[in-house]
Amino acid sequence: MPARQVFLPISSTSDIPVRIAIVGCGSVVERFHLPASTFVPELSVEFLVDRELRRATTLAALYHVPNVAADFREIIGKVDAAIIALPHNLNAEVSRELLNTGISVLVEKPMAFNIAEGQHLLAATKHSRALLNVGYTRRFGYGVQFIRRALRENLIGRITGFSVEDGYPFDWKSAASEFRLDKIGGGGVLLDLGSHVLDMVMFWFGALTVQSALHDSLGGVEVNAFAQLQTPLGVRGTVELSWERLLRNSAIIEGTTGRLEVEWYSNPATAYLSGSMLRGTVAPEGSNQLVQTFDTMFVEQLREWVRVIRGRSAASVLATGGDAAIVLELVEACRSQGKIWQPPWSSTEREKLSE
Amino acid sequence: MELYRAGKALRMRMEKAKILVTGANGFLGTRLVEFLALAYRADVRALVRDLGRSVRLCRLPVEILLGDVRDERAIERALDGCSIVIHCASGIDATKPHASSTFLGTEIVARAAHLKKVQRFVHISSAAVYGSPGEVEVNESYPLRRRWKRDVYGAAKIAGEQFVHELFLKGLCATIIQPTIIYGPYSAEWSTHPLQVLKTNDYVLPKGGVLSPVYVDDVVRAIVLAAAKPEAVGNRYIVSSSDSIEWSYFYQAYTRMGTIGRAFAVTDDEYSRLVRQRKAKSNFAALARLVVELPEIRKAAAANSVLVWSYNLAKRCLSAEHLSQLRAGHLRGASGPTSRPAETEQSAAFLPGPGLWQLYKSPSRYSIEKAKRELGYQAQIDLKMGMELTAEWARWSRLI
Repeated sequence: MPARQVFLPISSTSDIPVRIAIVGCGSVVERFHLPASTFVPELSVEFLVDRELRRATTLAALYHVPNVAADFREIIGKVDAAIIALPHNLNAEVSRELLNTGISVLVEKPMAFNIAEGQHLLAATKHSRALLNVGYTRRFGYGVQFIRRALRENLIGRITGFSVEDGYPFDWKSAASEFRLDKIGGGGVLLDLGSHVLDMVMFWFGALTVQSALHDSLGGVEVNAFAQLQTPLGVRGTVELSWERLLRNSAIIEGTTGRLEVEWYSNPATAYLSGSMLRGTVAPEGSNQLVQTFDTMFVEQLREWVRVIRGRSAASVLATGGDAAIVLELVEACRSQGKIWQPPWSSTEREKLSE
Repeated sequence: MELYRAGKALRMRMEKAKILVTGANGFLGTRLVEFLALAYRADVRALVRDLGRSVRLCRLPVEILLGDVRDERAIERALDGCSIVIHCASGIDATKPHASSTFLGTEIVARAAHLKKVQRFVHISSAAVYGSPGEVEVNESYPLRRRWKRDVYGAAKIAGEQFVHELFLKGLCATIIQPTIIYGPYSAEWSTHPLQVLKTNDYVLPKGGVLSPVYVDDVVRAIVLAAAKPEAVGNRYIVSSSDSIEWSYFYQAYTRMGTIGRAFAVTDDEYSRLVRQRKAKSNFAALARLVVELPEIRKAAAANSVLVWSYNLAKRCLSAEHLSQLRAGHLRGASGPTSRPAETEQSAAFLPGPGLWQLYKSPSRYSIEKAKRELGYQAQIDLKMGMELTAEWARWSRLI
């Protein structure tokens, strides 16, 4: 383990941009983090790190980043904070090492591959001034925030149930040659897409418990998953996830005085409120933009992250390491309590019958 | 029993060896890997060109390897330690047919397998290699020929078979499988496409054309038999169900799953008339859209007699509903419906393109006697059962 370093705190009154590095130069960095960073003058990207140095160099030239490195340890002592966007199985290890040297971290979801890794990572923050935040970018979506506010303001009365569906045929164009979805690098739909969705549901309702679950892993990772969950107030609801089907991609929240449905992939995000038959877009008050893309959500995430690491405000939307650890527990519970579901058309049982 | 013995033989062989499946993330490839890994507990290496599109494979206890069948080095790596190769990869680029996976990929994989002296090489071709010989029962002795002049797919499959046959003459233990129309869950061409069309539209088919549909699991069984049986080496086998049926009957099975659209058959003359009508209507619709949507075109239209004439003509030809849809599209930002829009509105009938029409018209039937006799192959899933499984999958996939 590298020697612990002591850094001067980043002054909350300083106007000097926060110096950051981005570790991992895959598609998410190219498509979202780097473009978003150009809209946040309070930070300055000083380093791009990737094992494929050529890729880091190409992106650095495009975004005028002064330094590149193949080894993330080269950034130690040279930046205040880092965005970690590595394959899922590497996020925790690199984040922990950087936190130990006092570098604050915004790690892409999932922050760790399993609960134990997540706990080790959280432990690293206990003795460090550095902060751990997690890129649950969806929290910054208008639709997601609209639901949170609607629940706080009792828009549809007492909540009686919920149903959340998120699914589309997976087609992520990865920049990394070794990108994997399987057990080695990806971890399945629960850890990948499910991390976002479960975090989102907890963002609305608080910590959840798993009542029952189904998934279709047959020795690999799950591609479809279904879970019955319960909120701290005893409200039951469902979450359905898929990497191969186009699902409803919305949250339906049932209340005693109405039913609210919010779609998050429609743009602008749209809500249907059945009690009073209203339909409308859900941009926050004061916003002059109805349309929100993933790009703008990344910009808002970076802005809040800078405020948080400068100590100017506590995270209000941005997810903390603690939030992400609870998500990991939920993923693990869905897996361990989950029954394996093999649909009849994918069964090979008929083969045994023919014996 | 044959299959059980074949499965057992394959399993014994597999205890010592690994099976390489190319094109493993395709419709047939994935189901084959599923069978090999789950029913036969085989050690499988699944070769795919795109990891991001291989999610169904990720559920299985198999090794997934990234590589293109047109890349000699990738194939050399993929073959390492494998003694059985099942070559499912197929892909046609009409602009560069000789560089496509079906053509070049087959040559590279077969040659590498020959050099490695693999125990068995099963090449997945197609019954399309026999062309459209007319109202006959096609068997494996028929000459190979394209279905029509620009049948790039058929030509590439014929070339692939010729490579494999040449290498067989030099010692490659090869077998060729020639499936007919493979349908079932995840079949983009013969299950997803008809369901997507029939969900809201009618499907126009020719009168008289027949097909011999085969459920995907039966093709997998034939492949397993071919990989296990020594007498299969050096042979090609047509794989199908036992029955030939009319296309309209096949597509009606999809309509019975609860689609709005119907499948009906028309004559060639009726088809030509519908195509002409559709073409004229779409030209008018495009013109009307331009006039309605663009202010500068509207301005020019007022001063241009040809455009005024065209607009008026379009108004006469298009239904009031269609025109109001175009106007609603123009008036974006106006208040919309107060609930989710319904997705069940029926629109115009689907007319297959000329190539597909030719295929649907073919009266040829296919004999599976050789596969029955030499492999012990027997289709186990009839159309009723196959469609029941497909319907269950389609409901789950929300295609219907």
